[in-house]
Amino acid sequence: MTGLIDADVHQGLNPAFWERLELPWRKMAVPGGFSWPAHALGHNGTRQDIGPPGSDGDPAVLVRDLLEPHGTRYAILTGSKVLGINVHPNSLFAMAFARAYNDWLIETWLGYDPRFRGSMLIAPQDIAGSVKEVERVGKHPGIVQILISGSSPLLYGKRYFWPLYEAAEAHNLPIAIHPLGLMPTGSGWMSTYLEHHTMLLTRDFMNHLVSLICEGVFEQFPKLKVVLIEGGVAAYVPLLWRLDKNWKAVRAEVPWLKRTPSEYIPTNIRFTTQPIEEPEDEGLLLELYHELDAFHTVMYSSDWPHWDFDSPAAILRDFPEDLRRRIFVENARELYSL
Amino acid sequence: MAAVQQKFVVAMVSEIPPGARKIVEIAGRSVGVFNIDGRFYALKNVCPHQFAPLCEGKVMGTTLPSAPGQYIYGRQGEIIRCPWHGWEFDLTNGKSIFNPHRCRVKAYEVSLEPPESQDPSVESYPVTVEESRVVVTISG
Repeated sequence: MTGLIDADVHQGLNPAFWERLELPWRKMAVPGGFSWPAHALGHNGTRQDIGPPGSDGDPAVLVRDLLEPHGTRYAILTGSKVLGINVHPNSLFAMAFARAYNDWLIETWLGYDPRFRGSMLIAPQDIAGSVKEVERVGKHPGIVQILISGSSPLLYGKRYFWPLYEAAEAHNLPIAIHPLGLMPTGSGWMSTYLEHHTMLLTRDFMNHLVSLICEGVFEQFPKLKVVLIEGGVAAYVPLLWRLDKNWKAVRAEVPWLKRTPSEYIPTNIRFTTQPIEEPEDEGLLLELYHELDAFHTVMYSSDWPHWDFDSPAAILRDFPEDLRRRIFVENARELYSL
Repeated sequence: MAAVQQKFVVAMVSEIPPGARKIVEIAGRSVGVFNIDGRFYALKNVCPHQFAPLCEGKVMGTTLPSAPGQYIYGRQGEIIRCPWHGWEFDLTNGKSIFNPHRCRVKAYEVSLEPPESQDPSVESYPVTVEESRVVVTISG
């Protein structure tokens, strides 16, 4: 589709990143990511056709493998194996990592191809430092959002995070949350990748979404947008039915909400499609998309180069053309002012 | 067709002191009559949600619109919470608190009328307090 915008593209780290990292971390940090229980895939979670390990850190590979064949107008870069710093116990390392990442992102990627747009990192362990980082790089024209992980020791509606939201709103930068999977369920860890990959995407997002709405974040920061990346779409519909219903009974707890909870979705929340839900009957999916006001709230994403990549040529084919255009192009174009 | 109005005497004023209520059956329906600081209000005793006996719920106040993180408790005695699911309604007009324009319970007009004049054919003794009657008007 002309003007296609891909809202979740994972460019890999490359040697230039590690050169950017401040001392002593450049010497002391051990490169590498975290381990997922991905043995069932027989690989590390990356598509097997992309190239040798590390290919995702080469901008030319990304252009050749994703942008050119799909005619992608803009790719929103979300990093790879970097979000773990959001739950790293050392805030000094996390902050240094975020600064290095942002400089590397701007130099190595945003400067490489005008189709790239970047998601800056912060370190939630250090909110004051994170606000300074937003002020340092948030005005760069290629930086379009602030990326944080679904794994968090604290729910994102809590006041602890509000200075970050104030800075985000002031810089017109959405807060994007991407799954990470480094926090257990309330009942401990799941055993298999099947369980893990099924639950981590929506479980954390549901908690954060309800927290953000109920704590009044969108009354305090009415222009703030929060993007739930890689959490799917349909699963939130019954959650919001439940939230609205319960609010009718106990709304006195949250008198600051001026609207029914689900009414904050079109004004303040955006979703991305991947990994797309696949009911046998795509008509059911369309109904749930409508229920979530997908015309205004849903953006296409591929998750390149991961194994659960969604091709823009293959998904949502039977959706009405006007809705497809909103999802594949317009909603992201408006959100990121592209 | 013009709505038919029917008036029903439901109580003497002294039966429903301030803060109290009386649930009555009139015109084939259950109605709750409430006294808030000397003013009387009547609501249909059926919650629009799942038809619970709304007027048996707790009469209380609620949290008023406020900034995030701020609580302002007010309107004590003017809000009724359904005994089943806790939906709140404004006793003075039947409107729900969560969506006053679209969710409400039927409210009836209540008036206080002077005591009936004594039947001259009946020998009676003068009473020291002439008490008003609480009258509920049902339309339609």
